[in-house]
Amino acid sequence: MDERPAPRLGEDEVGGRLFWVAAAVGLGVIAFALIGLLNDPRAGSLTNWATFLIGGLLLHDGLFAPLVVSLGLVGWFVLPRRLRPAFQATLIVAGSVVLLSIPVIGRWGELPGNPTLLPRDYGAGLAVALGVVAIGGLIAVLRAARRPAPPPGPPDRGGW
Amino acid sequence: MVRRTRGRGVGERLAAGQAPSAALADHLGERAAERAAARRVDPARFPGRLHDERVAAVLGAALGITFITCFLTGLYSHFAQHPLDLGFLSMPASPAWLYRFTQGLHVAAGIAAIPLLLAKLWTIYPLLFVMPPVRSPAHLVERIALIPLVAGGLFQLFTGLANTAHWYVWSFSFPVAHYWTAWLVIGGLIVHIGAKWVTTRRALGSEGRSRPEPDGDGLSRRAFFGAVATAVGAVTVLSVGQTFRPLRRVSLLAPRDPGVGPQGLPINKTAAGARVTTIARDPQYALVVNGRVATPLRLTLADLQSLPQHTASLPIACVEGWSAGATWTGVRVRDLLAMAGADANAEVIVHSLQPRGSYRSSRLNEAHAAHGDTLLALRVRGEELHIDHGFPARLIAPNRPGVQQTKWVGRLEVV
Repeated sequence: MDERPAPRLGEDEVGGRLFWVAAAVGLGVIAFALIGLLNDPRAGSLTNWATFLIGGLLLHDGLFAPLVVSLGLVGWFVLPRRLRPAFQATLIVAGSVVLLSIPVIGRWGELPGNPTLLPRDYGAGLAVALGVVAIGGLIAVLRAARRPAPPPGPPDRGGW
Repeated sequence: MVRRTRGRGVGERLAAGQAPSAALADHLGERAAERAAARRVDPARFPGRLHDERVAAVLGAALGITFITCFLTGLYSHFAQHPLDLGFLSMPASPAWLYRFTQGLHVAAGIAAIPLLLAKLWTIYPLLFVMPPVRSPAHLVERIALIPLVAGGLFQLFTGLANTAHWYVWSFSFPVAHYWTAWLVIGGLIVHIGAKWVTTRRALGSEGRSRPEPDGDGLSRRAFFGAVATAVGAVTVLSVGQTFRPLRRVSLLAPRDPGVGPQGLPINKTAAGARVTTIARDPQYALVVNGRVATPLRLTLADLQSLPQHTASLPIACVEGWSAGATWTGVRVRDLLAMAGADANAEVIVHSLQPRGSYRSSRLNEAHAAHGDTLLALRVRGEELHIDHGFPARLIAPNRPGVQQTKWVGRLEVV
């Protein structure tokens, strides 16, 4: 029986022959990509490309992820313990649906004279989709609330 | 673990006969391990029990599958539009549905990757703040390669999704940037797989599966996977109907409906947008077949209509991920080539009447030019072509991206 404690996230040391071979190949492919892009005459604005590339990373790591973590923290304070999983799951699904809707709901791509592009009422579509998700979430919350209270477990550590 | 000596400096290691690079690596690794022991990622700072190795491994494996699917189908689409001049790699003309399938899959896999990528990044978010930031040269390389992987992954998913809705908020060329950034992501992914291979195999194997979940409340590991899988299912169902017709009524957030448009087919470029409305309706219209032919042809619309007609059921499959099938009727391109006395292995450049624009001509390779379903279509679903579908005549051929199904065809140039 393995007596060692469970490894923590990211605790393994990186290295070994497999890693260095993969690193050499991967960095070669990255160099190929950068050289290819820099030498592509049809590329358009490369500073704009770099802005989107790095901007997306900063937006995720600096804004989106902290917001999600904060939301988790609020949920931990506000919600009764046994309802938290249902709320978390509902928000994961609803959040994904909202992200998917962003490009179509703004209708920024609309072309005059071409009603076949963006043919639907996406506000209504998003409302219906979120309504279905909310019903599913509500069912999960009600089922969790009706379940008998769990036995006193290990210390409460939050779920964010 | 072999390294038990503590606090040996690089000089001592060199004196002990170690190679300089190995001595430095060992030294850095040991220093890092000591500091990590002192200030390791404090689990209390991210107390959620889902910041866990097995969660990261399962989501990572699923995400890897979607990224590799996107990469391979993307390469296929790229080389369908920019053929390599290598005979054995040229695009086949059958099966007719192949491009429709691969490009639908490309967009669907990219959309499915959105919840997967965000869930995965959330799971490993504590590692962004790991102390010390760099433990060894290998760790440094691994972390540097995460920048193209994560930044490129977010970039690909955002630009790809925005492109399906024609939302161009940037000033780079979408196809060029999306293509090269794909290579950037794959390079980062190769390094990442090399770094995480051992960990992932352990976490996905029976050892990782049977290890009890960390204590805590909130979603369990299994329930988290269920929630993310539900999110993947939701975004798929809400969009995939743009190419998978049975779901078109429930795909409430799809930028296209394969049943909406003139003659029941969507349009990418309208006649007005291509500025061909007048020239395409000109009664003097005549199709020219020239280039490497024995007898150049000039055929009016009436001439084309009097030639043997052939009907084929073929999809329009757009690079943006929507597709719609229809029955097309018109003259076989190979019949026109035979009439003009072109070689049996001829290739053809199909020129539109469109005066400007990057997609106003396309090339038929030998396989496509000779295929019996490659048509200069005059009718769709039994009606004369709508001007937005390419009246008076358009190209329609099997297994081909929509941008290459040239509309308002004015000339076939045999090369």
